[in-house]
Amino acid sequence: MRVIICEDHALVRDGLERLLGNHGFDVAASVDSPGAFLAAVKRERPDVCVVDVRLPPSFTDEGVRAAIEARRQVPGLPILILSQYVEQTYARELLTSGEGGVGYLLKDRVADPKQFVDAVRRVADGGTALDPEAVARLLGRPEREGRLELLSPREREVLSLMAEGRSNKAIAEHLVVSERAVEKHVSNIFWKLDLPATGKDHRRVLAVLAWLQASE
Amino acid sequence: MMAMNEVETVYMPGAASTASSWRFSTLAATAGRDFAYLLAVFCISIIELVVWITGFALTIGLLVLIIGLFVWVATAYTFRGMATIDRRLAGWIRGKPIPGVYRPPSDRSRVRTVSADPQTWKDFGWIVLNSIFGFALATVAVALTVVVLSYIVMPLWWWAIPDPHTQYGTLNLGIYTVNSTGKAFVTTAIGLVLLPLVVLLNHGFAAGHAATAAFILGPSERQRLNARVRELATTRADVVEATNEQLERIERDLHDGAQARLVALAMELGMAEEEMSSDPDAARETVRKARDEALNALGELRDLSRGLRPALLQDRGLGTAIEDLAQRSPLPVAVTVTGTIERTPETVQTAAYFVVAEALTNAAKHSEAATARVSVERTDTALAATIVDDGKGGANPHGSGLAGLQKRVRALDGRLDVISPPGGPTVVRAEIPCA
Repeated sequence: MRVIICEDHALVRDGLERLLGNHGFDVAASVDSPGAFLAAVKRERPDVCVVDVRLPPSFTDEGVRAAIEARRQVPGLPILILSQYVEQTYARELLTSGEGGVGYLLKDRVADPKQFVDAVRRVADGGTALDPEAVARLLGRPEREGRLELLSPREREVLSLMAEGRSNKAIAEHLVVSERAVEKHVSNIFWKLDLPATGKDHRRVLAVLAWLQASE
Repeated sequence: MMAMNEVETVYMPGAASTASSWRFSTLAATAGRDFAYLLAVFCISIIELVVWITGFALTIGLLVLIIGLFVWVATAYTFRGMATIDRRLAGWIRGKPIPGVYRPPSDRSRVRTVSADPQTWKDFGWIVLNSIFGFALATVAVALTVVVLSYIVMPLWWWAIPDPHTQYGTLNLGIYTVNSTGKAFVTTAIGLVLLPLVVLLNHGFAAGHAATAAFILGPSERQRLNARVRELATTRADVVEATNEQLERIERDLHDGAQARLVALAMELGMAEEEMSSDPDAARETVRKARDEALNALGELRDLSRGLRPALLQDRGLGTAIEDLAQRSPLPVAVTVTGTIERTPETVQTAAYFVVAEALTNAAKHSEAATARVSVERTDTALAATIVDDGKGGANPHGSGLAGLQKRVRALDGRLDVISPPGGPTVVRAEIPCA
């Protein structure tokens, strides 16, 4: 699996190269600026990208903007954003296209190589990987008006686990219920959020997106 | 003399100054100054008459055209210039400067700012007044002085006045005619009697004129307070801005430094854990790298916290803290401290400390200096810190570090000067008032 790393701190970049290399990734390019990143994406057509949020020149949200631009040029390009902080605005911006293959994780997650690599793989396969921290933050917010009010507490719980990118099986394990029960919750969520099943869709992503927008 | 003065001061506090001010040389100097002042007023009042009549006539005449407004602004600025000269002169006589407080140029049009400024109208009033009454006063004083002086030196020149009727010159004074050297000496005596009166008159005129100038041209209480409020508002905004910039810098330092190192460290440890069973040697190497990373992060955090609040400054005071800065500088730095700097408010000490720290950092980083000198001086009214390096100069006083410090120092009513000609040396001097 070919990966492009975009991270301006040499130390962290080297670490990521080694970590992903150790787990069988082929690091196609390792760059430190949005410009170099976009050029590398165009040239290498990677399977997945790992991008830091804060990049030169202004060190604010260049990474997010570069990711959105890269996905505009290469639709569906899987990108995992790494950030020092959880900003749900960024998560929402990334997910707005409604397509999968997006992740947004705290940098801290690299401390657990296995989980981190799992997240990268999940994003590469078109799934989502939203940081548990972000999810927890959103859960802690006061409720707003919206379709989400239709969800039962259990369904919300399932939705938040979906946002982290967990599969039905993983959710079932986590909630100690049968996979069948989870499937039922998920289809209820889709129905309540008015997300009809079409051929090639990313209803799980759309559900998470709806949730992010509701908690704006 | 010195000793006598001291004795007098002890026993008769009022007498010493009276006695010294009656000394002849002081008296002569005062009289000379008064006369010079009145002479200057005489000249200036004539110019002012021309200026205000011209400016007024042009402004009124051209007001129907737009250009009249420009003439008005030009006139107002000319008034300002004249008033500034008058302020200087009157300040010289009064022994203390008269500040001229004008509203600073604002977003509003120049015409409006100038017209709305009360000082513009006070200047105008003063110039009209001075061109008439100041002129009259100065004419009388100068004329009387010249006459009296000419009486005193009459023996030297009475013969030079040509008179068609006699072979010697004559000068008719009304009471008698000076037609002999003896009568000329009588005139000298009259002049000497009149001289103190003229000196006294001049002194009164000069003091009165200067006092009026100070009253009209100096700031009213309201103007003074307005100016102070404006100044405080500016420095306050500057402080907030400087604080924000500092916070941004700290955040970036944390993000780029310790945080990044800790991320790398966590990653190394995670990998080491994985490698432990498969490749213990690699794991050991990774752990070693992780430990280095941890130490680096510690070092960066230490530097950062020292930059935020130097513990030594709070614990041991400015002198020790500056000695410490000097020792940590890569350059040899000589430190001189004069006065009891310990009895300085903490805010002032802190500001001075950061000025020294920044200047030494710049000297080491950018100036290619070989040595630097720091001197800190505590006087009764201020704390001054001066940092001199022998580097190549050309430091930018508006660079972020120095500009932030400038705001900080100004907020304490102090000033920060950076003198750094190309080729050096660079002198950074902060002076902060404190009782």
